[in-house]
Amino acid sequence: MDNLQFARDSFLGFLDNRWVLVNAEINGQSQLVIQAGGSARLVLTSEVQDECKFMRIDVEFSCTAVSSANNYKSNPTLLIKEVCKDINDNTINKAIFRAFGFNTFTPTSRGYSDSSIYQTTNQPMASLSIIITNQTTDQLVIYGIGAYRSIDVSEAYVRKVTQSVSKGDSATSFKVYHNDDEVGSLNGLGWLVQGSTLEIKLQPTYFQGQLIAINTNYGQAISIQHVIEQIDLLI
Amino acid sequence: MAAVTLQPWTNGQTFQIVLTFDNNSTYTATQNSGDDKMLESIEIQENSALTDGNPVGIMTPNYASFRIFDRTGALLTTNTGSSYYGYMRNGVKVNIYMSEDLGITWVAFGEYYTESWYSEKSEGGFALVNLSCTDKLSYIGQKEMPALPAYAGVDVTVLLAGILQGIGLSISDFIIDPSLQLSMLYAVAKGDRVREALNTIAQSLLARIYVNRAGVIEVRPAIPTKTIAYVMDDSTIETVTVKHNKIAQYNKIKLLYNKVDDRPSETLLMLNNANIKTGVNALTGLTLSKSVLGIDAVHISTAATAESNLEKITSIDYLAYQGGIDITIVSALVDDFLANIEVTGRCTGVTDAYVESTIAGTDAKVANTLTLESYVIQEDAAARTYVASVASYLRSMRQEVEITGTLSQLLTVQQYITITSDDANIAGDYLITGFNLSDGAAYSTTVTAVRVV
Repeated sequence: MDNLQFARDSFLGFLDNRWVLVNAEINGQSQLVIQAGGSARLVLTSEVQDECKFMRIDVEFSCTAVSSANNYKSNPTLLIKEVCKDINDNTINKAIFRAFGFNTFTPTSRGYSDSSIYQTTNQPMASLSIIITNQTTDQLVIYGIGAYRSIDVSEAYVRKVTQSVSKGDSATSFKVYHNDDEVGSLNGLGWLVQGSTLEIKLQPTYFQGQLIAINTNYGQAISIQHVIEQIDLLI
Repeated sequence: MAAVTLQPWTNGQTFQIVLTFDNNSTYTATQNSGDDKMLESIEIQENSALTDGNPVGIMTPNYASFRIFDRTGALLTTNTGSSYYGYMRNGVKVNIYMSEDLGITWVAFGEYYTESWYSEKSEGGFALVNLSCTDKLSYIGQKEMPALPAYAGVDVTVLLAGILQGIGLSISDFIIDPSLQLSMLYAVAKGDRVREALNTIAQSLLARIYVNRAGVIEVRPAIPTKTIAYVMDDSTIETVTVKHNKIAQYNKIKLLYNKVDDRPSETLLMLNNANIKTGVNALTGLTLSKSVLGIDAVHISTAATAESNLEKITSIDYLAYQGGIDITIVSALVDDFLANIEVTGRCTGVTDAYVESTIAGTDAKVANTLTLESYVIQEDAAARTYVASVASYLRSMRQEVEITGTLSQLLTVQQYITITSDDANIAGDYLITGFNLSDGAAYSTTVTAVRVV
C-alpha cells in the first residue's frame, strides 16, 4: 500500500455542468456549494472503461456542521456506485456501492481534506455514479473532488515493452540474475527485445514443467534450491 | 481548610449496619446494643489501589466483614419464618454508619454489598451470622463494556464519565477530580470488562479510583495536592514499619504508547451474503474487529446484469461507535438480493512507540526498567509528561510505611495527615493509601501511608 502510485489527473474532470444539482450550485470559483438537504450527482461511462487495482478519492471541503465526530459517520455522504464488466466477455456482472464519510483527519486553510484509498475489483466499469448528499443542517462547500486510478508500475512497464514487439521478434540479449552472496543460485531472468532499451524481468516463484537441459557454459555450477514437485531430467 | 487536630482515640465510637434486601425490607444491627440483635464485630479494609503487581496501581475495591448475633434467627438463611427468607444472598446492600455521641447522630461509613453469607444456630439460642462484603467497584468492574460513542479530540475523563454513565451510574454517583486531564486524539476504550478500561484510564491519569464512605466513586490523583486533613500525636501509635518497597528497584521507566498517525485503511468488518430486502435495511450492533480511529467507507458488492443496477441501492448510511457500527442500506429493488458488505477504516490501540525516563537518585547496580503500556496516551508530549510524572510518583512511593495502633476512625485513604512526635523517625507528613479498622472485642487500626516531604 505504501508504494502505490496514482495517476496525476482525476478522471472526474472539473466541477462543471455535467453535475446534476438539487438545492446546490457551482459558484464562480468552481466550488460546489450544496445547501442543507441538497445533493449533487455525476454519472460517467466512457471515462471509467479502464481497470485499475486501487482508487483514490480526494475531497477538500468545509461545513460548519462537520467536526471530528464525522470520522465515524456518513453525514454528509459521498456515495459511489459502480457497475463493472467482466474482463473477458465485457458483460456486466457486478455492482458495487461505496459510502464515504467526510473525515476530518487533515485540516486545510479552507476546511478539511479527506483522502480515501480502496482496492477495486480490477475490472473496467460500464458506468460510475458519484452522489454527494448533504444531510447536515449547514451549507457544504466542495472545493475540489478527484478520483485517481492507481498505476501498477510493472503492468504499465510490461505493456510499454510489449507494445514495441512484433510477432516473431527475437530477444536481443538475455540475463540471468542470482543472489550476490550465493553463487550458483538463480532468482530471475531478464531480456531485451528488439527496438527497445527496456528490459523485461521475470522472477519465478515456482517451477513447473520439465527441465530438459542444463547448460554450464556460464562456467559455474547451477543449483536447484527449491523443488516444488518432481522434476524429470531428460538427458 | 485548616487541619483538624485529632484527639487520642477514646473508644467513643459506635458502629451500626443497615442491610437493605431486594424486597426493600431492612435489618439494623448496632454495636453494644444489648438487644436481641447485636453487631458483635466489624472489620473494614480501605485501599486506594494495589501497587504490589503494578507500581502505578491497580484499582481494588474496599472490603468489609461483620459478625452479628441475633436471638430471633432472622438472618438464618434456613429460617423460612424470617421476613428476609429467600433474600439473604449475595448483593444485599449494607450501609455502615458510625456515631460518636452514643447513637444520637450517625454518619455514613461506607456502602458495601454482601458476597458471602454464613450463618449458624448455636446451642445458646443465638444465631451467628458472618457477612463478607465488597464495595460497588467489584460489581462495576465485572460489567461488560457499554457501547460508547466513538469520538476524537476529547479528554480521557470524558471517556471515563461516558463509561460510568454507560453502565447506568448517574452523574451524582461519581466525582472526577478536575485536576485530572489527558487529551486523547481518539478516545478509545479497549477490553471486554469495565475493570480493564478503568484500570487503563486510572494508570494513564496516575489516578486512584475508589469508593468513599458516602458510597460515591472518587477519581483522584494518586499523589494529590498536599492539604493536611488531620494532625495527630503519636500516643496511639504502637508500631511504625518501613516497608520494603519493590518500587525502589526501578531506575528507569519505559512507556509504550499509542502514537497516532495516518495508518493505512484496514478491513474492520466483512459480511458475506447478507440478504438485502426492499426498502430500509438496518444492520445494527455489528461488531468491528478493532478499535476505530475513523471509518473510511462501507462497500457493498452484489451481482449485476445491467447498468440500471446502479439503482439497486439508493443510500448507505453508517454510524460507528466504540467497537461497533450501525449500517442502514436502502434498496430500491422489489426482490431481495445477496450482497457482501465490507467496512474499511483506520484503527488505534497499537502501542508501538515509546519514551523513557531515568529516575534520579536510584541505585544503578540493582535497578531495572519499569515498562508501562498505554493506548490512551497518543501524543509524544503527553507520553513525556507521563513518564516524568511516574518518575516523580515512584520517588514519592519509596517512603511507604505501615502504622499500627488505635488510630482514629476518621482517617481514610487519600488523606494527608501530620504526625507529631519527638522521634524524628515517626514525625512527618503522610498520605494514607490504605486503612484497616477492626472493632469487636478490641479496637485496632492499621494505616498504610506514604511519607511525603
